[in-house]
Amino acid sequence: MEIRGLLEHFLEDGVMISKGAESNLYKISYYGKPAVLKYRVEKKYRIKELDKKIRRRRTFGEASSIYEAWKKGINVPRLLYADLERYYLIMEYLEGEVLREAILKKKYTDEEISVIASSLGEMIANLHNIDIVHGDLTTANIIIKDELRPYLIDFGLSERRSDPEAKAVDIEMFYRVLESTHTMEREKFFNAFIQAYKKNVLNSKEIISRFNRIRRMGRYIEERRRRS
Amino acid sequence: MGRKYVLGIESTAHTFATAIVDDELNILSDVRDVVKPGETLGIDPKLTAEHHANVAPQVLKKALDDAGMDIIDIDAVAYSMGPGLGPALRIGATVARAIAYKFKKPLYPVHHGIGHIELTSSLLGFKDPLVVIVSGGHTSILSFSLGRWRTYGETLDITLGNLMDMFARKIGIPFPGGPKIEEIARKGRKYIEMPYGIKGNNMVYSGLLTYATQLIGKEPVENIAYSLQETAFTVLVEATERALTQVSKKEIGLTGGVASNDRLYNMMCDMASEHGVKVGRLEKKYNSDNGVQIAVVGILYMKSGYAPVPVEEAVIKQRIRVEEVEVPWR
Ligand SMILES: Nc1ncnc2c1ncn2[C@@H]1O[C@H](COP(=O)(O)OP(=O)(O)OP(=O)(O)O)[C@@H](O)[C@H]1O
Ligand SMILES: [Mg+2]
Repeated sequence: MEIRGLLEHFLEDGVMISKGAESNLYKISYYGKPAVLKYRVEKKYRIKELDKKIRRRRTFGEASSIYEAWKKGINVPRLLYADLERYYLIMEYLEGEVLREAILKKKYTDEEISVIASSLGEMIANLHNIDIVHGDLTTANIIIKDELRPYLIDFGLSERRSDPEAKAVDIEMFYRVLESTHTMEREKFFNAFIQAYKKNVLNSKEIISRFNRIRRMGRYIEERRRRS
Repeated sequence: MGRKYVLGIESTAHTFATAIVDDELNILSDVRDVVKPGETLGIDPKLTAEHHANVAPQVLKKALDDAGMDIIDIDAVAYSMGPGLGPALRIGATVARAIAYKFKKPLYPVHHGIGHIELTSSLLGFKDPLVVIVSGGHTSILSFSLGRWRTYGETLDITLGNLMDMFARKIGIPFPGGPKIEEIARKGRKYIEMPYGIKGNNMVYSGLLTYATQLIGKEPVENIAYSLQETAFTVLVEATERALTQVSKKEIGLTGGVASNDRLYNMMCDMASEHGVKVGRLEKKYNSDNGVQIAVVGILYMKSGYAPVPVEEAVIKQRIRVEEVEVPWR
């Protein structure tokens, strides 16, 4: 049984804004300011020990990555509160639109897409430069505020990694999302993105060559396995 | 108009198989011949191709005999074009081309994975499912969107089937070790934390295998097997849940050898029920490679009026992705 506490207090007049795969999000008021409470829910399919470990680890990981990124001036919501025992955190509410939907609705011109993509490339480079990989880079985890300013959210799968391989995987996953969800815009988007990324990321040669290698490998998993 | 019949030929990996299916998806025959695994889990392409070439005539003849048909009664031939082992694929394709040429039959190249998917959908009666293939050759989460089957998550290194079989071998259980691991895991009592490999909707299993292997001799094997299974399945179910919330489907079809594992099936059901989603899995024999899955897709092509390919264009594609295939029947 979980005891009634701050969480219940916050939720009392909160409004659910999203029910994701692992968490529920509520818009709440935090000391008079609009905020988002992200609560990681219990999953019955997981054994208890693993369930608790995962929820705790993700809540902690997300809170610390957002905080570290924010300190470096990267566009992320400001962390306001975190409770690792009750698996929730509270962050600044971002007024804006999720990039995925905006692109699917054809909201932006080609030029606007390039502007967003290149700010994003620079942002991800800055994130990688402080040795954080996002772990779930998708257009659903990017919120566009006014003046085409992208903000990065959803750091639950983020990791502290300094190796170029992990950074290359981050980029490769993003490429896959563009390929499957934004087939039409992929080329324009990715070109602008990767150009800005390369310009800003440390150790760019190494990361890009690994990226290219993974791209080739990903397609041929089948064959590699069968040869083994 | 009379009934139509399609002969399906499968030869992507260790299995050479033929089957005859009619246009209402009744299975008239289903014949298979599998290469015995050698010392390693990997398949020797040359030996496999040799095996397939040797058994092809009798496997084909038996499919016709079982269906009580002659080769001229067949309306079309479907063969698996890939992905798979080149030399093995070539045997199936050669047999298919020979029949198509000699008896003037329409010829349909079929993507092996789409065979798994469509067979799963049709046997389970699912209209628009998320399909999870977990076998020795595949670990992928697929769904139909924007005119194609698309991959929404997959293993970035080894497959779930490989993970189970390779761990089994390390503790002295011969191939295929999966079923035995399930049995041993049932006796596990203590969960040991292991590397949890999830990258977005994708799985990473090689770190888990290494970790579990290093524990052999240090912890009771029941606990290792139990923890290995819990960790690997939790990763897969989480990835599936993530994909599910992205595509919002109402059915999950579980297929491939590992689908027989009850723990995995139950976890998938627990996850799905929270979303009001149904889970179905195939009967054991349809989880492994077979000719029926190829024939079923052949029927779908034929019924949708899709143009067959001329014999000289009937190629194999060892590395073809599902996204590359047009799907005229959905
Ligand atoms: N700080 C924020 N300000 C405004 N909206 C937000 C904020 N954080 C999240 N959201 C909204 O909630 C949605 C889900 O958030 P998030 O991606 O963090 O959760 P999640 O559980 O991982 O969900 P999903 O499974 O959908 O990815 C976002 O797409 C966005 O619309
Ligand atoms: Mg998200």
